[in-house]
Amino acid sequence: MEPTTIALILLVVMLALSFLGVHMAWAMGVSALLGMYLIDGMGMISMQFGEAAYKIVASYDLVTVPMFVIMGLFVAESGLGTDVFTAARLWLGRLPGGLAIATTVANAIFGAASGSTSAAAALFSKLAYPEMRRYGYSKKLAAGAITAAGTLAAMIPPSIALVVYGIVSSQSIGKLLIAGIIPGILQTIVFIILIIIWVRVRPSAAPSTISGEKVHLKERAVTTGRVLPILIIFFFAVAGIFFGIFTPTEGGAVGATAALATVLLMRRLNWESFKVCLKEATKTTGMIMLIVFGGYLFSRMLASSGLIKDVTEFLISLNVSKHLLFLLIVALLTLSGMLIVPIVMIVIFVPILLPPLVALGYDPIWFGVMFTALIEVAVITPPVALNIFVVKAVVGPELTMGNIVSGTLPFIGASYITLTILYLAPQLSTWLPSVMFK
Amino acid sequence: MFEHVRNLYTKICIIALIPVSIAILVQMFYVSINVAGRYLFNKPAAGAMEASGEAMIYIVYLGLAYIQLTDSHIRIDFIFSRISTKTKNVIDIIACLLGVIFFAFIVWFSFQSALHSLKIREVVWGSVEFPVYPQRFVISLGSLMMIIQLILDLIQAVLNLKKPIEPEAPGIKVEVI
Repeated sequence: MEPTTIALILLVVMLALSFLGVHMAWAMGVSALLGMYLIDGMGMISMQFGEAAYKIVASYDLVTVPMFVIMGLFVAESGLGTDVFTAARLWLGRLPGGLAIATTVANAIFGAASGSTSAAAALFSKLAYPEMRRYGYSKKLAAGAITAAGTLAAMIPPSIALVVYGIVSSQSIGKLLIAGIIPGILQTIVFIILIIIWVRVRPSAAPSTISGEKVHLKERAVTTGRVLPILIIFFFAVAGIFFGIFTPTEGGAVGATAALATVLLMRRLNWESFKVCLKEATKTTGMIMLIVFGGYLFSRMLASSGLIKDVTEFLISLNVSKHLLFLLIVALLTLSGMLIVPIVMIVIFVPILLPPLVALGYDPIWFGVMFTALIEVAVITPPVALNIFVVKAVVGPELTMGNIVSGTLPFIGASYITLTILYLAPQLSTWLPSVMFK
Repeated sequence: MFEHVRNLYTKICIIALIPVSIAILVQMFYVSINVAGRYLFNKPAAGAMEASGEAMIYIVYLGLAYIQLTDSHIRIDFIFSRISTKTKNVIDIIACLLGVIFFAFIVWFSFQSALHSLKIREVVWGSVEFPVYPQRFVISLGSLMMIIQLILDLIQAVLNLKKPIEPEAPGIKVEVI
């Protein structure tokens, strides 16, 4: 049998095993094992299993993963989410639809800092949903704003999805992180505009504002002051990467150390929660790295079979417009993203799709941003939308799935507007990395 | 008897998290000290890059069994969450068997590499020379621990097959990523 046929069959086997519920890492690993054996005998297996198990993991660049994860956990532990929502509510709550806007902005800040889409959705379901309902906001607007705003976490640095993309595609992690800044802000602005239009068209969705409340300047200053230390840490870590003061790993480590010091000074971390943070960091790092390792083995097998080269040549030989081709890729990723978690999407699709896209003249850093934006839309697209489940689980029976889905649809539409803008103006993603200090 | 072994092994997996936690903290502080040293005293901390890179091995491999214990390794549950408990157990058995095969290969080939690394005194080159063989042995050890956990889960799944089916409580798993 031709090596490419073997690889193709094993791709199907791997996907079948995964969809049945076999753990992704070894569904990829065992398929790779079998493929390597059939293509090259034991030689490739002994090299990849003996060497790659060490080389892929023991890398200084990868230290970014546990550092970003633990920094996010310390930040979540610090209660930043609550503080930032309190502050955003006081500053923005007077605008029409202000509480939904405050939720979006608070999510952009907290989500970015904690790096977790679903943790942000869970927290704001608890915090912002009752608050919006208290002021008469419609269930749809309240639930939609929370579900969608959770996705802002994935783009604004420090973003773990972009780090994993960097590892898998061998692109500069620093450039990718910086590339996410403008698209992340753009997405936030597009969501805010959507909320404003929504409230204008249907004023009953957000009938009252918090303008009846008297808010003293001092109260605003105090709540904002509570948010500042963590914000400064993040600004410092990201600016450090931009100006070439730190590598991303150093930015992560310094950020994590500073976040730990801050939560200790604020007396918001005890021994028990410190242990929980370390356990969670171990879990997240381990599962990401095992997926990266499994994906590496699988993509090595695909590459050695010649399948990736064949796919690239085939796509180029089609001679169709590269825009049409990209549109097909968007459709493929959207469909798959409805079923597969983001990190796995990166590991499976990037090694296959990036070479043809680069050959067609697309920028790999830009594609990282597009890819991340796309898989995050998938997180809020039914039928298998993780964030929708999280919001439903936290809010409970008051909210039906129908409410959340119909509330989220306008935000999904808005996300596609952002994607279109990012496609038409790639400079929005590539300009900042091009001017950063090298 | 089985429960007793399982509980004992859970304790071992949790104890293995101590070196993992130390490795994370070493990365955090050592890399931060390196940055501070470089900018404040013009003297970077020797070996920070090498040590933190090598620490990844301890974090990833010694944590594997604990992640399996808490059922946190990533799987697609679109179909899995919608099938009967009995079919779930059958899939769990297949998943555990495939996992054992995968990690057995890692244990075997990493152990070979570790022995070779020890023989040639392999080191990471940098400002400080770090021996590599301990990390290679840790890969084998962590993967072996993972195999034991998978076998325990396999036995559990087989035992569950024999049990009468109980209705499951509805729940939702929140992913960290």
